[in-house]
Amino acid sequence: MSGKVLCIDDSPTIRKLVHKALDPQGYEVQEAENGKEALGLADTSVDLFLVDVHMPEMDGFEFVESIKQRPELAGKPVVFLTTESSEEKKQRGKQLGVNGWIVKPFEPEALTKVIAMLTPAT
Amino acid sequence: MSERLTDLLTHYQDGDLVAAADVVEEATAVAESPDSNATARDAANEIAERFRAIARMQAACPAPEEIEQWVRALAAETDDGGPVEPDNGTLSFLGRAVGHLSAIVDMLKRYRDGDLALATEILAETQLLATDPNTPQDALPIIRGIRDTFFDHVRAAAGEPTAVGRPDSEPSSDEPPAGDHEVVIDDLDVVTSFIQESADHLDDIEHRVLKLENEQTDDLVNSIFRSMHTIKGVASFVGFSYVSETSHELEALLDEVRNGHQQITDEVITVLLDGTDVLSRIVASIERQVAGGGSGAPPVVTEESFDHLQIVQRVQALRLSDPEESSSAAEAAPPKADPVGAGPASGPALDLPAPEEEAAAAIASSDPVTPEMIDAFIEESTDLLDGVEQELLRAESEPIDPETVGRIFRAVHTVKGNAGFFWFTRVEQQCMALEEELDGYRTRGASIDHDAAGRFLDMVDMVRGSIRAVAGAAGAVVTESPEVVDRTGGSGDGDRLPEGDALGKILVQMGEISEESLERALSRQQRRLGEILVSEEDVKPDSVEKALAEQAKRRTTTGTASEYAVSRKDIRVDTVKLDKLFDLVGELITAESMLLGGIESAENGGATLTKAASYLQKITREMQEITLSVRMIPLEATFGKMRRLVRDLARRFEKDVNIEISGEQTEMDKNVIEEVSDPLVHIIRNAIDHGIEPAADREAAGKPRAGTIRLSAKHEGNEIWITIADDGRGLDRDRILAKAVERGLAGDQDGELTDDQIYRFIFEPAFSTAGSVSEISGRGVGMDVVRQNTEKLRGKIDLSSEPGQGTTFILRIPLTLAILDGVTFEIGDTQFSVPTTDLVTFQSYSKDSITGTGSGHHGFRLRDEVIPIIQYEHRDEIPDHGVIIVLQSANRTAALVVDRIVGYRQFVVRAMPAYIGKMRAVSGCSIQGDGSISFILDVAQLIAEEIEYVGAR
Repeated sequence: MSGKVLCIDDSPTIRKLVHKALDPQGYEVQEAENGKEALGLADTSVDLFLVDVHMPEMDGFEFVESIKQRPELAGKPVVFLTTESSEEKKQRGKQLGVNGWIVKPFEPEALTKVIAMLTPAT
Repeated sequence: MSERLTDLLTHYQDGDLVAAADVVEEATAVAESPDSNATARDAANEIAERFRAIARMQAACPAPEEIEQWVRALAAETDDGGPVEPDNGTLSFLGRAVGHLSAIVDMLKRYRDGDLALATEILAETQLLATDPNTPQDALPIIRGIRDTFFDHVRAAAGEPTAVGRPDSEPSSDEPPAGDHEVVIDDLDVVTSFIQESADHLDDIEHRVLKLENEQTDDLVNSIFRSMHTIKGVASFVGFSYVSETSHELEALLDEVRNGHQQITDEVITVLLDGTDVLSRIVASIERQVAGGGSGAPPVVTEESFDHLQIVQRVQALRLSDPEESSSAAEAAPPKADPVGAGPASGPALDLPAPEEEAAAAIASSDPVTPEMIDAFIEESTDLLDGVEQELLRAESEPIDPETVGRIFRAVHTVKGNAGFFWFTRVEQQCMALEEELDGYRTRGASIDHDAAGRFLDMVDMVRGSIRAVAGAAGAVVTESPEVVDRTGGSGDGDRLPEGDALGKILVQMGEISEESLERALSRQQRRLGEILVSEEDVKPDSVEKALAEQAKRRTTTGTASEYAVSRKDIRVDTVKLDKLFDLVGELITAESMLLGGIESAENGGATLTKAASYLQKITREMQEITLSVRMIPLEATFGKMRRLVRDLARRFEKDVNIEISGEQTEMDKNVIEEVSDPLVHIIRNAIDHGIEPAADREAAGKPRAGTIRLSAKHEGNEIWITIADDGRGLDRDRILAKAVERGLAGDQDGELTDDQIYRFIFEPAFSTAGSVSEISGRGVGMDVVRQNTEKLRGKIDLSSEPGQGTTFILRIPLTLAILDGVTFEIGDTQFSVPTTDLVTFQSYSKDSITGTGSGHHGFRLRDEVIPIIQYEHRDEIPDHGVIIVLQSANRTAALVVDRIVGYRQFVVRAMPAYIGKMRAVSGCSIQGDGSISFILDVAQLIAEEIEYVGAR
């Protein structure tokens, strides 16, 4: 498997865990602390966005809104990493064009399974 | 094999990617399975394809009809042909099952603990169903759970190993024992998922029950019921019978509420909350055992009881009665859970049998969690919570605006998310509770007022306590503290370890138990210390109660939020400072090459060399400044803690106190700040305890009801001045003087003492001995600590007080410990330095300004005062000429005779090299420009020693 995942989460611990889960699978993981920083890193080389919902500076919703306005990125899969169980939040994500969510805490295998399903097979 | 797929399909929620991935995986497995028939295979292929597309947003979520179709096709797997028609076998099973089930339900309703005959019957019925191959998978866990629970009951009652007889403290009941119960772990994943799932539910339950107080809707009750039901089911599946017994009772109670047979009274809510609490404790204890240890799977986990039977009894008492009688029945019910768990009133808590065995748990984790990650978690969380606390404390003066609420929310959210990853369930639950409440404010755009902030702060404290426990378990660096202040209860729950210590120590001090008993009990720390000691008959219940009261008292005198502090070894540095440092190193390299080039061309008159040297000097100075500034951090965090301290102490002493803080941006050396914190705590504690009067007295004196403490910091020359001023009653001059005379501190000169000299007696160690101190209405407690710490920092304390107006302390602390401004001088062949902060003046002297005192020592006339002369080498004669340096420390002045002043300069303090050996009153040394050593005199010690020395002669 391969592909580049941009992991956007303000918690270094979470980013570390994402690395731990995805590195052995051959994914390249790039990190950003918040939406703002991620916007600078988001380009066509990214295959999937893994986005935390609550972040300082620019939260997950705002970030998704921004990339959906960029035609070259609008089609890239976006996965919310969330502890949010509220239906309203989930629906708002869906409306913005988010593929779906993974509820934190998650098993590393669940993460790799989802990413494998959404990134192009090699 | 398509059952799981069917289950996933029917529960699929659009957007749940993990579920979608599971569907794809299961469907692929079904499609590839040789057991599947063509219909099922086709359906499975279609499902896998469809869900992959759904996840990629290339297809819509299936409609219920589609799912129904698939489910039917999948069911064809076992029954090659169309929808399932129930055959006679199935029908007859269903008939039988309904019979069994209603019989079981009926028996469960009638069952009272101890009814062995009924238990055996239930066991038989459930066993039938559990072994029937036609029993639906979904029902199996519950049926097995019931079976196992009753199996345990029957076995226990029959005196099998798990059975431990209970003393006759509860003659009316002979229910099964509540000792710790060992559960063999077959599958760690299941247990961890049980922990997670039940923790989630318990958290939900707690919140909903609290809501129930104000809002009694069917939805709410139903959701609590469902959660409780799930916990019961899962727990019995895994074999945690205490959890299932307790949740079973609570569920039954909720069922009565749901059906309108039970009013939602205070008793109901209390028992629901207490029950949830007990369940949480059991689950947390299991979680700790699963998460707490080394390698290898834990074969056995001990399921602690946490007195769950008491909950069971209380619920039964409520349930037994008719709705009309419920209130009187509730009064007859056992008392509300004693949070301390060892009070004599709560009989069962004390009568717990000794555990059969220690918890055996070599723990398991295949988790990729490293200690380093846990450390990172602790640090990150501590930082975040510090921030949260500071924001919340602002509510003391004005409501917190919604934007800040958002910030607080995000911080808590991050801690929660991280805690979840490490399975720190307790931290996670507590954060979740906090987060949910915050979310309410956030979504409403509401502000957090004073009272709400208080509640939130308590919750933050609980989170900190749990993180501290985690830190302790992970071996992280935690400040030494004898106990954890646990706002939820006492020595009974999660933070038991450090607290147990303290309780044990108190009992030893009270002479109630021996060290050996304590050791023995501590080795069984799986249980509450009080209970163990009582059960071992090492101590009587009421002694434990006394000790617990003492413990509570000690907490109120020593326990503050600051005890949660995790000591940090790292420091946050502004990157601008680092950049500057980096630039300077670059310049230094340039200067070096200039210098080297300069040496080569030195024969040409040396102009380049001079230039290079001055360049180098400039860079060195700048580097020195920037390096010092790297260690400088604002006082903000320390002052913030004081805000919290004032709030906590004001409540404790039941006084109305505000704190006003200014100058918190003032920066100080990190090491200095750590030392300053304790003196501040002592001064503020005294101000609130003794200084600020009760509101009524203040009003009578024409002052505002609320007292005010002003805490400020500012630069003053080479010092930082930290001022702590209160507007209380002021120091009681006469009583302090009386005490000083009584202690022989004032000598015979009491008539000549100035107010200032009298006030300073409060810094005498004798004034701080407990007992006598609080009698003095002035200050006293811990003031010698204040003095010592301040002197350690080469600082000084100014003190002023006005009767009825208040007291002001000024801590004058030198900017940094590492580099001092000072004066260097010679005594004989040796060079010494003193910091300018200790120096009053220096001057040449002539013989006539020296007065002999007859007893071999001398005084020096400084203006209209005579001060003692110190001779460093204790020469008997004062040289005819020389220089006198006037030094001061702690408001005492003395003159030091030296031979020559070398000069004023800055010096870098270094530790004394070991080979030099011990020297009189020297605190360190400094290397001079020519490589020679100058010793730094510890002026405070020198003056103290001299007084002793003179006294001895």
